[in-house]
Amino acid sequence: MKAVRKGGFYRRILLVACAVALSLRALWVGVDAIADTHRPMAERRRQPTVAATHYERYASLKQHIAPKRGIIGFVTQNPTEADALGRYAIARYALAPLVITNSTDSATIIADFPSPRALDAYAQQHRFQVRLYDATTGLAILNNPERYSR
Amino acid sequence: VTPLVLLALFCSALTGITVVYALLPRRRASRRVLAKLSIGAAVGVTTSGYLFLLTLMFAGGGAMTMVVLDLAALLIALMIFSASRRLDTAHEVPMLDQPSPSLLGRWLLIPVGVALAMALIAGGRYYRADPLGYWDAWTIWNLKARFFYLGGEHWTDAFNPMLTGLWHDYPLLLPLTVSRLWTYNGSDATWVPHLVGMGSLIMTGATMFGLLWAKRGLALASLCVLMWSSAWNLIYWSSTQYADIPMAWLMIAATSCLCLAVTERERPWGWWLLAGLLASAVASTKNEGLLFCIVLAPVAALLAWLRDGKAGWRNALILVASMLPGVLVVLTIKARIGIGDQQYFDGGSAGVMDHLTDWSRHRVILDVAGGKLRDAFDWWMLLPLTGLAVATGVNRNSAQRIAALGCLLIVLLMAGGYYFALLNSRMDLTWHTRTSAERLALQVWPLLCVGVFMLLRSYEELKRASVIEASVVAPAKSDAPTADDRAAGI
Repeated sequence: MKAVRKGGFYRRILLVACAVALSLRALWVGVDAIADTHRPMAERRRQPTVAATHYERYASLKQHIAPKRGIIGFVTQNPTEADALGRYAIARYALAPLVITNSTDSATIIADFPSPRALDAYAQQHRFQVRLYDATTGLAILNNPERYSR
Repeated sequence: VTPLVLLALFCSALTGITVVYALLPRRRASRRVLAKLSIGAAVGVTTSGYLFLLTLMFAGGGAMTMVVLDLAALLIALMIFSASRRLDTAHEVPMLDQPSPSLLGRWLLIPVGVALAMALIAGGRYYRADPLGYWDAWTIWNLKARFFYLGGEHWTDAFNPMLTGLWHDYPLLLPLTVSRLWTYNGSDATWVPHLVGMGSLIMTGATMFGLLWAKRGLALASLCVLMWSSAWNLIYWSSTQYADIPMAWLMIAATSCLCLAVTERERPWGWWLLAGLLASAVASTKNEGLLFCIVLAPVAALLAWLRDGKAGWRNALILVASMLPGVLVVLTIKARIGIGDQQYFDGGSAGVMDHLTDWSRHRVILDVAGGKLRDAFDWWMLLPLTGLAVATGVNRNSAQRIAALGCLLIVLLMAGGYYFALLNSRMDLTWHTRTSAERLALQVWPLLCVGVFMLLRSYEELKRASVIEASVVAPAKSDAPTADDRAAGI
């Protein structure tokens, strides 16, 4: 019976060792998450997110948009840029509950144009009126006279 | 966190907890208390979400209507509880001797607490870096919540077909919960969806701990939570404000009810009913939840049959009957929105067969998902797990082994369902697999941990057995309940 007791004892020791290993591992994961050092995680965290960058830009623009409900268009200066879809998506998020569509087929259009010259050229080309342009944020509100007159 | 948001959370949790206590037999005190509280909170959050949908439908999201509905729900729950106690005084389950927790179990509470505290700190850091969460948070979940909160009578603009790429068919429980809390808060603060995500993380841990504590003792409950929290990206995905971790919480809550239904002897139908209700809550959170319901029904039937033979069909029927109304609501909302699922091929059985026999698609999924899962989980983690299995041996309680089988079967069938869905993905397969594999794994990760730890013998049993062996008494080899199980009322 002595051997049996020893077996039980060693099993309990093994269990305690496993418990220590699991505890250390869980604490390591926690420390790593706080320090953000785990390689795949750190890479992911370093990916630029357009949300944090662009959301605040819409704070001052919102009060100038009329109407407060309905459908509004959206256009960006470089639609082929990698973050163009992100800029549209964040405009949609920031301006909800307005329905923002990725087109210019609306009476009012939000234009994300960091360059004022590019905005003027674009507005002239499409015969849009620039109702408001905020040079610090690069955001503008355009009127589409064709849609207004319909 | 504003007091009103705390009040909203407390009110919904109290409603759910009252319902859970009304459905279950009376006990003065037991180790089930944490399981009951966390399962009750899950029931309450789901109920409040759907009440907010009613507020939107009939009052455009008015705050006063919402408060009245929340209080009415709490009052009704209290009345049901009171009636259940009045009608059921004879059913009080006697208090049994409960063994005091082992020293190891008590000590392990320290790393569990520290790990969860560190998760909250890390989550806070992620939030500071990205207050709006990750891509799907502000393009899908929170965008819908903003329409619900800010849209007033026009809240249905969230389903405007001109909002392309919004995945209109996604279930609404998470956006409803967030917009409800925003309404209580009085502003669309970015910390509210973060609170929902991190709260779900903590509640997932609490539910797992509660179940294992009730059935396998304090030491294994702590070890299970430590194992679960060892996944590399769990904290990150909790702070992205996605729906996966809230869904994981509801999924483990439903599965815990199933485990308790199989292992409890007194009034088990309450657990079967709660399992069905919570399964429909999972379906209300993400589309994968519908798969969970499809998987849960046959697994529950199998467990009911293993537990009670042919007489078990009634219990399985209770689960399905309690699951169906919620699932029908989800399907009705999908049908009313009228925009079909755009993620998967619908080319009929011939198209499905084409994808099943296209080995290049299998290879892509296995390669990409394998790589992502290696990043998220280290395989050497199997070492301490194997060590635990060797040290403790297999759980001798047959009912609990059946419950563990149920957990593992659900994981297996869910994984099969995910694999099948990816095979039929309409999107770029590499991208779809890369962006979803890890999150899908984290959805079923709590179930896998619970299933494995439910199969193990508890430390307290091991200790007692070694004392018995030492005093020259042969150890019990039968399936009869152990002293620990008897103390747990099994």
